[in-house]
Amino acid sequence: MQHLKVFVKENCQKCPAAKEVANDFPESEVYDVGQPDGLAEAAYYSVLCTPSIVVVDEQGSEVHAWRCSVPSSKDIADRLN
Amino acid sequence: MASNIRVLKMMERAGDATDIALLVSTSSKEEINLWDKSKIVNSLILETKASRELATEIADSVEERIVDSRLDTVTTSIIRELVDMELLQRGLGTMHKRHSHLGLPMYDVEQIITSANKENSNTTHNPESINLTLAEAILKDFALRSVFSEDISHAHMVGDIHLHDLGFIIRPYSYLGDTRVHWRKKGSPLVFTTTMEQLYHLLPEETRPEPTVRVKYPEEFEMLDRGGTWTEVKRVVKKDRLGKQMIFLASSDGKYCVVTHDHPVITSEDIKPASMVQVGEELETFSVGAGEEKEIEEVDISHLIEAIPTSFKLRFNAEDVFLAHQRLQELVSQAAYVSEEPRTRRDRRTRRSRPGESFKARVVMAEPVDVLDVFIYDVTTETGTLIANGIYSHNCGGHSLDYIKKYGISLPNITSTSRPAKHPEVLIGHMVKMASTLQSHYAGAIGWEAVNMFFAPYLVGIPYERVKQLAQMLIYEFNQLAGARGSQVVFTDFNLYWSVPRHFWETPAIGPGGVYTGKTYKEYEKESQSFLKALFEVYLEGDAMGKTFVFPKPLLHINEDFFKAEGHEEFLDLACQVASKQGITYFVFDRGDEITVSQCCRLKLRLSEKDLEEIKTPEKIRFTALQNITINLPRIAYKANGSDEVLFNELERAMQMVAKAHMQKKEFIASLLGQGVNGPLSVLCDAKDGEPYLRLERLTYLAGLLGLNEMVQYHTGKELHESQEALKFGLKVVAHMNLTTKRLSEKYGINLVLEESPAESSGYRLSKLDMKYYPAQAVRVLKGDLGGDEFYYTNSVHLNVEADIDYIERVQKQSLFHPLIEAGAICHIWLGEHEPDPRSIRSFVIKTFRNTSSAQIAFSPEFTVCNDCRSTHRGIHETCPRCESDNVYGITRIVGYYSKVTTWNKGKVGELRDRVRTSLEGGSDHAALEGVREGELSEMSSR
Repeated sequence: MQHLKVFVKENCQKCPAAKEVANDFPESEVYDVGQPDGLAEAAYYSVLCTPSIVVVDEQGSEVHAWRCSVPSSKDIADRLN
Repeated sequence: MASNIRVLKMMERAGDATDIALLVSTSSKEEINLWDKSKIVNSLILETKASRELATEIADSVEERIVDSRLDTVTTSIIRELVDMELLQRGLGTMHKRHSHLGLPMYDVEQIITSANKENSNTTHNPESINLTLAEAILKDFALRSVFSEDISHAHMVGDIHLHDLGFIIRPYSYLGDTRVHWRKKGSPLVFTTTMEQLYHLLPEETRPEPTVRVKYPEEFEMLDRGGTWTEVKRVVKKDRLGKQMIFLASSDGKYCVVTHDHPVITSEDIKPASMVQVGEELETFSVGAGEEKEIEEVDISHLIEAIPTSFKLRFNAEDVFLAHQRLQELVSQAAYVSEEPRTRRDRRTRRSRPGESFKARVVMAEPVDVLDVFIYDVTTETGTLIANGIYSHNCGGHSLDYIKKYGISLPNITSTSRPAKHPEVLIGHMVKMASTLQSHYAGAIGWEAVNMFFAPYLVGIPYERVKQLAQMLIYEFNQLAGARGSQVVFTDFNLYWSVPRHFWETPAIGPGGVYTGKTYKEYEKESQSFLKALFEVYLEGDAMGKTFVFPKPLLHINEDFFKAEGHEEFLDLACQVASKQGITYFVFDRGDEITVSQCCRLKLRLSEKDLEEIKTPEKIRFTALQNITINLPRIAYKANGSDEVLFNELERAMQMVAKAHMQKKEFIASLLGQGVNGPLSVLCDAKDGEPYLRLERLTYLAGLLGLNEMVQYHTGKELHESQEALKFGLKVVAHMNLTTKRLSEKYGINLVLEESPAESSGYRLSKLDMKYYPAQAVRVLKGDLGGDEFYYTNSVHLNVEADIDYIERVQKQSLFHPLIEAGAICHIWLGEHEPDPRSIRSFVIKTFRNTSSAQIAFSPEFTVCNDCRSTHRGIHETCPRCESDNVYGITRIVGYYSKVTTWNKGKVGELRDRVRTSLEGGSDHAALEGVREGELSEMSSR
């Protein structure tokens, strides 16, 4: 099943909005890029800025991504199978 | 009886390097002295600070042993060894360390003379390189015993870390807050007098470009300068003092200030660090007073502004504060007293400065002083100078062609001085001389920023044939510049741009004669492009035998503007043709707003806010990394033995050691720089633009990685390319290291960043040490031929060179690490004997730029050169494909540069054998790179 990976960090102005949007999708995983696990996951998905949201499939492969921006709930829903 | 013993002596006199050097070179000057025990006593007191009683006791004991030995002649080295033995037997380890002898066994010297040193494959075997190797051997020993602490040296010796360039250990500041300055809003008749600390806190909007540096940029703000003129204030900086020694300077007209030891001070003869200022020298001072002649009115508001409390003051108790204050007051009183000496008083009666007038005053006191303040302040003005506490002074604050364009060649180590070049040929000559001088002061590469752009103003109206001739001259001069340090070719990088970099668009251009042309560099884009094209045409042709040039390495920057500039397609075709045929093109990717300067094998420095301030005065641009220290990652996995917790703890410990070692080297270099223009680093102290050439507080400190692949393999059972989990674990290790560098940077006030260590020799050294100390573990993951000693660890975060994956997957996966390795990373594509279609290279370069995070890529063909028929062929062959001679040698890229394979160390030879080569066939459309990532590539906001 597809789900979201949400990348945020401390003192990032738009990050709370990204987390709020992600709350609408219960399977979302939130990563703090200020922590090693979060930064490693961000590097794996070539996420170079926050906030970013990546839709991944069951194998963890990227299906779609919004890098450096916050999509609407509808945009995300449209991309999720 | 003992006085009959003769001593063979090399006339070694402590503290006199000239005598020692003279005698070492002339063995016939040996002399024989009569035994004199007091010389041992004196030497122990001088070198080890032993008490006279202890020194006499040790000397007695040594004398007794010599007498017992029944020798009638001993050398001073034997005596020194006997004294050392005595010190060790008494448990006096520290004294032994200070007293010990640095030297080489006879056998080692013979080996160095007769066998080539393969530590660096761009060093050939010749008398100069032998001298270099001998000197390096002594300096390595000195560094490990004297510069670094025992734990750091031990970690290097056993191979936990590798301290790079130990043989080049010798190669690679501000005001106290209460200093009073005079300032005004632009054009206002009111002049305010406050302390620097007050001024700083009165200004709005603080920025923090570095953890320990805070900067404010005032607008429409002026400060009083020489002769009562006004100069615009560009910035006011507040920074951590970081334990720097402060110097108290007092002048004969009653003025004083406290500055950092290396703060440039203007005397009547010279600009020199405060620590070098002597009593009796003349300083220029200034009195504001009523300032009637200048029609200004001074308003001293320093007493009206309450100093903003700073947390540091809470760290000291009342007694400390009182004592420090008392000491400063004592110095001020003493200064007042000495400045009132009869002789000086007479001077003052006749020459005392009037308000608003400059005056030459004698230095009456110059001595170190302890202060409690942890912050120091600095002001940068338009003219580069200002009046602080009434004393006129300079501000205290990568290699740029504009430095020599503006100042010509005037170096402390060269007697003659050249004016700025008027002709392009002369400019090339100046560049070459500057590069030679820099090479003898730096351990690593010499990188030049935007060479084609800075050269452009010299090329106006010159026909293309001559432009090409100049390009040829420039490349040959650098490529054959082997007469400098140790007869080693100067490792040179040229940063090159097709479109003038956006940050230089408004920069005033310096032209022939060091004169500003009245145009900006953007207006010279046509000449800049013409020169770049000529350079690449020369690179394509190769040398007289058609061989690829090795240096200067052309680092072609690719950014979005590149693709918008007219003629980029044609030029990119040429650059890719060079990459295919000669392999020397390096494609450096600058994405988003990132601005970088590259040098060395892969060192790439991102320009800081401070660096960007200097864009309008590019002669000030210079970047240096002080030292690289590589961490042996597989060793950490061996110690962890499968435990994540131990692994990350050990990683943390290694990073701590790296930071500590950097601070130790920084302290050592600072002590040498503290000797100023009369010291060993005079060239780096030279302050033509108001700041020393080497700006210690602007350096980068590198933490290198080696063998991530083997670390992950040992820890997880899979190599980086073998599973997603292994790749993710590798990313976690590097992410952890990245975040740790940021934390340690904050802690130590330095800019510590990760780098993919080229590890040309250290990779082999560390793998050999692991075979010695961890053989059971190392054999499970080491690559290469273990039986034939040709084994190695995979470079930095690279994937196994013989992994069965195509080059696209290799670049994709390795590039994931690049954003975490801020000081530079590269993906190599080994071509072997293949010469791919340049269009395939072009397509791959564009897609790598657009769809990956790769920082840099290079394509590496291999060549065989025949010494007999002087032909060059693709691929590495045992015999010449044309004349079948076996008098041939191979050339290919060892790490970040080309060299003869015969000069490679065994580890690199093993790696070369394993490299998987590609023809790029089947990858021309590079479909796999499509859609790897979408969206805008921009800098990680956390940086």
